[in-house]
Amino acid sequence: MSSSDQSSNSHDFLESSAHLVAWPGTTKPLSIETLIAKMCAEFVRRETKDVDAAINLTLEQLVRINNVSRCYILEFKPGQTLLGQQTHEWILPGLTSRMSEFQSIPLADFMTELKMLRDGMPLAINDIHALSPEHKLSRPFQDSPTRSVLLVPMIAADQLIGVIGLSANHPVIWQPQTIQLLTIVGEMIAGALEKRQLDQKLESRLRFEKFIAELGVNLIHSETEDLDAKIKSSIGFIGEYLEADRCYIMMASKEKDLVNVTHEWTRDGIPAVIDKLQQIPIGPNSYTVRQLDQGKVVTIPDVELLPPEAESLKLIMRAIGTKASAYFPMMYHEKWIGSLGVAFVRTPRSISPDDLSLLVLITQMFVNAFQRKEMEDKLRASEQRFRLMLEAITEYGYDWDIPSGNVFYTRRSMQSARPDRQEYNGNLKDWCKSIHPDDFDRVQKVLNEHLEGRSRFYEVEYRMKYVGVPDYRWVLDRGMVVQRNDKGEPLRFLGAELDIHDSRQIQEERERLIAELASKNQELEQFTYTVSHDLKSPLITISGFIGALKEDLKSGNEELIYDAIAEIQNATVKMRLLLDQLLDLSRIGRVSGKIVPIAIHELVSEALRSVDGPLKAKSIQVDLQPLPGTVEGDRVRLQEVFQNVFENAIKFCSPTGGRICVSAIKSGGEITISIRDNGIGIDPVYHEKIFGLFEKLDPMSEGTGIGLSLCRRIIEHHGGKIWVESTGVGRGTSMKIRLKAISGRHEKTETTTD
Amino acid sequence: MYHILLIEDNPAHAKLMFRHLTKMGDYLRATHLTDGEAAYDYLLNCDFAHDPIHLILLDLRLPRIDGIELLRRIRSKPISLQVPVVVLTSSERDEDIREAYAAGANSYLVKPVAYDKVQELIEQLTSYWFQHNRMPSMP
Repeated sequence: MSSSDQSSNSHDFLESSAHLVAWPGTTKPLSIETLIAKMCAEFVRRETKDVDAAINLTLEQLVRINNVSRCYILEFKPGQTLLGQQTHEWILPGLTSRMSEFQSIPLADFMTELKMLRDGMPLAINDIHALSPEHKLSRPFQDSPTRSVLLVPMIAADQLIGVIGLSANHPVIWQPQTIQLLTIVGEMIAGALEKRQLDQKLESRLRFEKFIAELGVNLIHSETEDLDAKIKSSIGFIGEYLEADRCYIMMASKEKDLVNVTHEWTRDGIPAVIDKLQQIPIGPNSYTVRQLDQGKVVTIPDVELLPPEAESLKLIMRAIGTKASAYFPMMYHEKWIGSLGVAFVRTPRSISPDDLSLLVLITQMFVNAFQRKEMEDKLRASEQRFRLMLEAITEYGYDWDIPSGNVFYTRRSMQSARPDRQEYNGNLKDWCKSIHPDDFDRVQKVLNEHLEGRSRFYEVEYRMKYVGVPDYRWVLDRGMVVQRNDKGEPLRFLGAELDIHDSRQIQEERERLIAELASKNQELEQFTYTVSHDLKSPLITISGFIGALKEDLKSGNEELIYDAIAEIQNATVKMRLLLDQLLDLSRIGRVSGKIVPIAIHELVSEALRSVDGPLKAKSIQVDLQPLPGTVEGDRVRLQEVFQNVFENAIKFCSPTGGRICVSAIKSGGEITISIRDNGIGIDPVYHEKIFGLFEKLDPMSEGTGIGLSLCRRIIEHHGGKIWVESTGVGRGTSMKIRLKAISGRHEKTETTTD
Repeated sequence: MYHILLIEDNPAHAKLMFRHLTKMGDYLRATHLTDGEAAYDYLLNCDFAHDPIHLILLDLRLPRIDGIELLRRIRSKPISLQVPVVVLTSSERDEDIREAYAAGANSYLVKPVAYDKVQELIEQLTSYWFQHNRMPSMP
C-alpha cells in the first residue's frame, strides 16, 4: 500500500469493521495494547482475502508507534535461494518504497543470521553506517537512506515463515519493548498468513479434487480422437497443482525393456524433453521398474540422494535437469504398462501423502482411458476389416443405421462391369424407391418380420433399379440386425445385395428348356405310343385273320377263306404304306433335297397332273387360276404336299359335281395358295386336330392318318404355314398354304427358263 | 336275343369280331359304330326299354371322342350304368388297363381277340344276365 492513498484505505478498513470498537484516528499512533487487541480481533474475524489490508494497517500503526520510516514483511518459502520475498510494506508518506531491498540478497550469505532467526532471535542493526562497508549486512543498503533495521522472526508451527521488519532512515537503538511488540505482532501475522495459506491450500486441494472428479467424466465421455488433448491438459493441471516443472506420461514397450514419453507438459521456461525421452532402455530390475512393476509409487525427493543402484536413472535425471521426481505406475490387469511422471527442475520438492494418493487415482483414470482408446481402436479396425470384407465378397454390402435411415454402401469393385449405384448411398427412402413396385410389398413384409425379431435372417429376392440401366435387375438381398437397444428395437443392420440377375435368367432359361424338353419328351412318348399302336393295327388284323383262316379252313368255307386272305393282304399293304410315310416324316429336317427356286404355278400344275387319274374317275372339275410368285425349297417335298392336299380334296369332294378351285394371293413377300373343294367340310373343332399324327376323322376312309402331319412338317420346315378353313360340315373345305416368296428376278429367270 | 354294341374304327378289326360273333349263334345281334361321337349319339337316342344293350365292346382309340372318354360318359348315364363294357385294346400297357378299369370297364381284351376268348366272354355275359334275373327275351 502506498502512502498516497493510505488514508482512504484506512477509512475503508474502518468502515468494513464498523462493528468493532472504532480505531482511533488513523494518523495517530495507537497504544501498543490497543493495537494488539484490535489486531487480534481483526485477524480472527477477517476473511482470508482481507488479511493483507489488516496487515498493512498494522504495519502503518507499527511505523507510527515506533517512529520509524518503514515496516514490512518478508516471507520465506521452502527452497528459495534469496533471503525472502517482501510481501507487505508500509512507508511514511513522502518516502520511497524499498520493496526490493532484501529480495536481492542471496540466502546463502545469511546462513548465520537465518539460524538466529530460526531460533527466534531478532536481528537488529542500530546504525548501518556503523558497520564496516565490507560487512555483508551493509551491502544491501549501500545506495539506501536506511540507517537502522530490526528483523523479528515470524514463526508458525515451529517453522520460520518470514520476518517482520522495521527500518528507519536514522539510527535507532532498538528497545526490548519494541522487539517484544514486534514479536507478538509477527506471531499474529504469521498465524494469519498461515491460516491464509492453509485456506489457499485447501482451496487448491478442493479445486484439484473437483478436477479429478471432472477428469473421470471427461475421459469417459471424450471422443478417442480428443483423448490426447485431454490427457495433455490434465497433466498440465497436475503440474500446476503440484508446482512441478514437468509432468508426463511414459509408456512401456510390451517387453518392458523400453519406455517412451507419449505426453508431456512443461512449465513456461522449462525445456521440453519429450523428444529426448524416446526408446529409453530400462532393465526389468532397474530401480524404478522393480517397484513400479509391483504397483508401487516411486518418489525421488532429491536426485542426489538416489541409491547407487539407481545410477542410470540419476544420469538421465541429471541430463534433463530434474532435481526431484515421482512416478506413478499405470497398472492394467496387475501389470505395469507405463507411468505418470512428475518432475521438479527448479528446486527439489516432495509431494504430500494426500496428493500422492490422488495422483494414484488419476493415473488409474489414465489407464482406463488408454484402455478404452485401445479397445475402440481395435473395434474400429475390426469394423474397417468388416467393411473391407463386405466390399471384397459382394457387390453391394451395406450398413444401415436404422434410427437415422442412413445407409452406407460399399463401393462396387473396380473389376465389376455392373452399373454403379452411388445414388443409393444415403437414405433408405432411395432404396425403397429403387425396388420394383411389384416386389415392394413382399420385400417390406420380409424385412418387417426380421426387424420385429420374428425371423433370424433377412433374405429376399427382388428386382432393383440401377442407375443408368433401363431395366430392373434381380438381386438377392441378405442381412440381419446386429444391434438392438434395451427395448429390443433394431439399431443397426448389416447386409449385402448380390446381383443374381444373370444367374436368375440362366435359371429361368434352364427351367424353360427343361419344360420344353419335358414337353418334347412327352410328345415323343405320345408319338411312339401312337406309332406303335398304328403299326400294331395291321399286325392285329393279320394275326386275327390268320386265326380265323384256321377255323375257315376246317369248315372249308371258301368265301370266308378268300375274304381272310384279302384282309391279310390289305393289312400288309397298309403296313407298308405306314412304314414308308413314317420314314418320310422322319426324314424331314434330317434329309433334304436341293433347295431351288420354284415357280408356284408350275409346281401346282405338276401336282395336279399326278392326281389326274382320281380326278377323272370322280369327274371333278378343276379351276386353276394363275398363281404368281416363286418360292425356294425342296421341289420333290413341296410337290408331295400339294399332291397330298389334292388327294384329300378329291377324297372328300362331293360325289356329284365335285369342284376344286386353286388360287393364290401374293402380299408382303408371301404367297398364300388356297385349294378349295365343295366336299363334306370339317367342323372347326377339328381344324387343328387333322394335322395330328394318325388323326383321321373318318375311320372308314382310306389313308394312314399321316398325310397331313407330313404336309405340315414339310411346310413348316420351309418356313411356311398350312391350315384349314371351313365354315362347317357340308360347306366344303379350304386348305391354305402360305410360303415365303423370293425376289422377282428369280421369278423372272425361273419363268423364262421354264 | 342279346344286343351287342361294337364300337371299333378299324374296319378289319370290326369285321373279324363280327365273324366271331356270327359264329357264336343267332341269339346275338351286333350294332357296329366307327367313332366315339357316333356311338355316344346312338346311346343317347336308343330305347333301352324296348331294345336294351347287353354288352358294349369298346375300342380305346377312336376318332372324335376316344374310348376312355366315351366310357366315362356311359358310366355317367343311369340308363347305361349297368351295361357291361369290355374294352378292346391293342395295348398291353398297365396304365392303359388301369385307366380303363378306373373309367368303368368290366373287362378288357387284347387284340386280336381269338374265337375262344369271344366264346368265354359270351358265356360270362349270359351268366351275368341270368344272375341279375334279367334274362333277355328269347327270339
